[in-house]
Amino acid sequence: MIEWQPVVLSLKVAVASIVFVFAFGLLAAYAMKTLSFPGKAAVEALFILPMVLPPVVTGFLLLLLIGKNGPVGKFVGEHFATQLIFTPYAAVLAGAVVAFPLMYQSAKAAFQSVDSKLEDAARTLGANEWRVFWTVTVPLSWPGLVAGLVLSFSRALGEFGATIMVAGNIPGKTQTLPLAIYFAAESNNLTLAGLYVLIISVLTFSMIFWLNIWSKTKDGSSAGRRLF
Amino acid sequence: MLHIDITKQLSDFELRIKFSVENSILVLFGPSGCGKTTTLRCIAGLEKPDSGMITNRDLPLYDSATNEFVPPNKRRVGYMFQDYALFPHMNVHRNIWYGVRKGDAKAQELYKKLLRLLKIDQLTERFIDKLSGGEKQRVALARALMAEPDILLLDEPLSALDNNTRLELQAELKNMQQLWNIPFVLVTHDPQEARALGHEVLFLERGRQVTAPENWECTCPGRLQAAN
Repeated sequence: MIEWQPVVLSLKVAVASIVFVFAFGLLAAYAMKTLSFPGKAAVEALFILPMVLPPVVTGFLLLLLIGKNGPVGKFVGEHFATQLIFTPYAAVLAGAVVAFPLMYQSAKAAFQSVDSKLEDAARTLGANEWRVFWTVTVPLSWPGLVAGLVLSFSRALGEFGATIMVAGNIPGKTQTLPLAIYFAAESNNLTLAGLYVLIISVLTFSMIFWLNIWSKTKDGSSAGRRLF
Repeated sequence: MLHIDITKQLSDFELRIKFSVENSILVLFGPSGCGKTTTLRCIAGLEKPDSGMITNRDLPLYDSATNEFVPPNKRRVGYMFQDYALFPHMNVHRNIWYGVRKGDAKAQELYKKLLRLLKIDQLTERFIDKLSGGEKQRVALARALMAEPDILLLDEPLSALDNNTRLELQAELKNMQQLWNIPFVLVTHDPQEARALGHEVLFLERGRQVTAPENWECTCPGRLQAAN
């Protein structure tokens, strides 16, 4: 009998992760496009780092940060009388950190592809930077932003290394789909592992398939036109 | 009256320009890359000069001595870009209304007047990719004037049009300037356009104001005056 809890938890964790990833990814990409400051290249490298580091290393660094004795862990413990470590929140954090570079990169490329004359035109028509961003930059970047969302959602859904470091593998509490696959295979329950593999493969394949079809049929302006 | 007296270092030469214009059409004429568009961008606040000052109706828009720099969205300087920079994800109606600060009865009246004068009343629901070059030019002019600018800058406004449309729109531009009675600063490298539109023509070469070419007077209708 298949246990659906890891599937549901994984979807919840991935959805929660991309809420943060979308907000911070957009903000970071727009800041990097418009601002110039000393050390910008280093900050940018830091944003991309979780994509190139082994996830287990990212997990270890997060463990140092949110563990009982880590700065964030201590702060949460003292002010909220709780712990992040080995909770679903830690899984959300792990998913968000590893998925962030994909959203950031997609958003940055999408923002850079917007004709800067359109943003300038909005400015000369009286729009402040906030209005330029929401009425011109974001609508015209929409295909790239959707691509970033789908890729980062898939990445968060499949996260294993960092998740096991900070959230552990507590069945019914922090066991996500990739962890369930690993431990089912390890305990030689290949049927269950196979079913989970099928579920995650169908989920991610459908998203990427839909993205490919959608991006072929929509150009930037018409996609923005439908949504804004 | 718009008054400008600025310098700005460009990649190959220094732009040094000084002129005043009052409720007429001033043409900046010169070959590509001589600093015409940079001058317009400095007036609009899209670029910052290195030194000097720009004032409109005696109010400073830029003054290097006092470090004053009014951002483009607060200058009330309309700008018609060379390729019009119309928002492709909005229809004609939304493009024209983008810069309206207060959508009251007066604005409605102005909107109707502009649609009638520019003969674009049938186009309001269309998206930009469904407009011809001449229609785009008219919509861009309507959008710029709808924001009720104190000055209108036009960067090669007719260069993308065929000959018949160009002649028709030259007459419309002159008509609109007379009706609105604000300074128009127009950039072109086309001598015929400079002669047809300019109440005054200012000749630029590698960032410097120069005298009119020798053969200019004989081909010109006689109402033009070369700047010093």
